[in-house]
Amino acid sequence: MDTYTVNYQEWRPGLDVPYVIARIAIDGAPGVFLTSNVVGCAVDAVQIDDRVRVTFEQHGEIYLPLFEKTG
Amino acid sequence: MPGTDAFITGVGQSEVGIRLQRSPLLLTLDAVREALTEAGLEMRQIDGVSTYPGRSAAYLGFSPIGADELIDALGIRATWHSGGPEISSQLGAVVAAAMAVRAGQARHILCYRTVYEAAALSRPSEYPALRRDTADGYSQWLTPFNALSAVNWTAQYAMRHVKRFGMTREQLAQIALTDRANASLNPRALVREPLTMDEYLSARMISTPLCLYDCDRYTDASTVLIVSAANAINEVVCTPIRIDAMAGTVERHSWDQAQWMACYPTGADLWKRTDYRPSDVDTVQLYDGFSFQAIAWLEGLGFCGVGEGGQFVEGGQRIALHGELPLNTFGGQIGAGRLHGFGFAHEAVVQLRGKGGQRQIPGNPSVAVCTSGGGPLATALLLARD
Repeated sequence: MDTYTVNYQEWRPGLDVPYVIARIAIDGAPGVFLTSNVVGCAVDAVQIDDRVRVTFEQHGEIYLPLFEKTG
Repeated sequence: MPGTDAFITGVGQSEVGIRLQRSPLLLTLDAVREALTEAGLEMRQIDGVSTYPGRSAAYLGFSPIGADELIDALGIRATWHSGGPEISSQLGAVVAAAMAVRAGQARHILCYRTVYEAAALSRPSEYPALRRDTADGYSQWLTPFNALSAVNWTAQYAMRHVKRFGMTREQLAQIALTDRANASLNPRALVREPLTMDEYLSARMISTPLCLYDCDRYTDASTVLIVSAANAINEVVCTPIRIDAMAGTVERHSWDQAQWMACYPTGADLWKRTDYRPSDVDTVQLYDGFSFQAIAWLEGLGFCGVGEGGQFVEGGQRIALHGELPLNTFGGQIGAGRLHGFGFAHEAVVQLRGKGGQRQIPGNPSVAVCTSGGGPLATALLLARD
């Protein structure tokens, strides 16, 4: 996890806040980042440099790459 | 001094407010009139128009008046004009105008930025909101993860400063506190009440580490700068302000693929185009749509090292109106309103002419830096009064 922010603003009605937005640096692909969410842990349990692994969330035919902390 | 042979002459600004009823075209005209009056020019002497981002049809509040429309409305015979979003942020419109007068394409160019975002929110039938039910372009990489606002994208850079460089909330607060203190001395500022550290620290979080007071707010206003050619400044009655250097460097035009915000390469490139050094600068007017951008600009422009911006502004004395490097003397966007980039250039000119009134910095300032953007796009101008 290269960096992150915890979003508290309810940008639209029903948006479930707070949540973690993170910039994920991809192993083996220097200079490539994905903006995603870190899920499966409390919002105050994330830190820069945390190692995360991908987990896919299905929306119909679309699979969103989200991330969760390893270990 | 290497110069670009372009000058900012008249500057003007409309009423600045929230949910104004006056139309955006009339606000633009108000700002044009003020700029013409200051310069002692008549409309028939204007032969160019430059703006950013042009008419924004998908979201009119963001930019309701296109260059074509203004040319028509004012009866300008334009020998050169330009208006579009794919430029190095808002003040890129001034860079384009400076290059146009240098190339002999026009003599006096109206550069303007009109914003109507607050009025648009309150009158959605006239000014429909931006539709967000589809995601394409860059947004397809951000919207699905509810990274919905520029505050989310900027906050991630700010968080890196918190974690890597130890930037504190009290340090970051100095941008908003300085802005609001200066805005209290600016009759046209949107928010005229000073902000206390206690109020800042108890404000609700928007996107960590940025709280409510780290964000500008939608504003209705128009700001105009006239860019004039070297061989035309004998026609103006105000003190011409020379554009000594300009920069607008983009590395990765994407909020999430750039390791560093664009203010860093842009700031470095500005100094390659001038004999001035940061120590020559009397005041800085640095884009602060979000407070952290001003900190990043201080670093990118070399006023302090990378990661040292928090310490640089600590306590606020250094960047205060009577400090060694007065910052955002009109209140920045956080205090004076979201004029969207042009307010910084307007204020740099006001200060260099000694016209700041209650907020005028002491010492007869002659060199200023003003900037716009800073995230994926950035523009910096070095202005000098010879």
